[in-house]
Amino acid sequence: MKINQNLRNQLKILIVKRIKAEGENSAVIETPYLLSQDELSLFTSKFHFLKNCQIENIVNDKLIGGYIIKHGSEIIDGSLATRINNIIVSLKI
Amino acid sequence: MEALGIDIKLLIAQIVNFTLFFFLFKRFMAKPFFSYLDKLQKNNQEKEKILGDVKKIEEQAKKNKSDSLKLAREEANKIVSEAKKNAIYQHEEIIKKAHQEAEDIRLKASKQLNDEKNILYSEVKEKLIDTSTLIVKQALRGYLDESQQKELMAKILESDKVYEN
Repeated sequence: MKINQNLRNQLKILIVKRIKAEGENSAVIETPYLLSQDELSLFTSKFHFLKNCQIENIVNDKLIGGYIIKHGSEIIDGSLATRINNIIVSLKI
Repeated sequence: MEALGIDIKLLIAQIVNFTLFFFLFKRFMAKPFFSYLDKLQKNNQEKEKILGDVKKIEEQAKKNKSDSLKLAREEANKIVSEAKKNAIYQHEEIIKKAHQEAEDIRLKASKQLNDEKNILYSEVKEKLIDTSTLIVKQALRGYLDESQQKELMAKILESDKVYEN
């Protein structure tokens, strides 16, 4: 079945908006240990969009160090594992 | 005359004999005899002429044969010379081609060897990096306690930029 191109684009925009709206109110912070309240405050002061969000802290020891923030469709990766992986990729090239 | 031992009668008889013989010879034999001699002479002359012609032809034939032989020898020498030249050229061409083929094979083998070396080097490098990474990650996991993790987190957050939106 062939879908009209305009209809497809409108649907896409609608879905993206819905995903954003769903993710806007919540955020996940992955860290290798459970964050304290002070550290969470530090996060909200550094990442302003976290102020209006419900934050969930998940422990992920694969990160080694640092953090990963998942907010809607956005991911901010500040983990040590990713930094090491980036170095490895640059070494392999 | 008799004292000298000459017999007149015999002398006269001999003269008459001779005259008679001369007359008979001249009358009946001289013409065919001279004719025969002329014929013999003509035959001889003709023979000599034919012999001369034959000699000339023979000499011409010898000369022709010699010329032909000379020409044939020259032609043969020329053919042999050209054949030698061709053989040398072909020999050189074959050697040149063989050298070229050997060089191609050598280059191909060298390239193949180099490629294999590079592949091996890349594989070893990749494995070394993977192993080192694994060791580093494991070491860091084992080394970093919670206080160090907190310190590291503070440093990372400090170095990261501020997100306004």
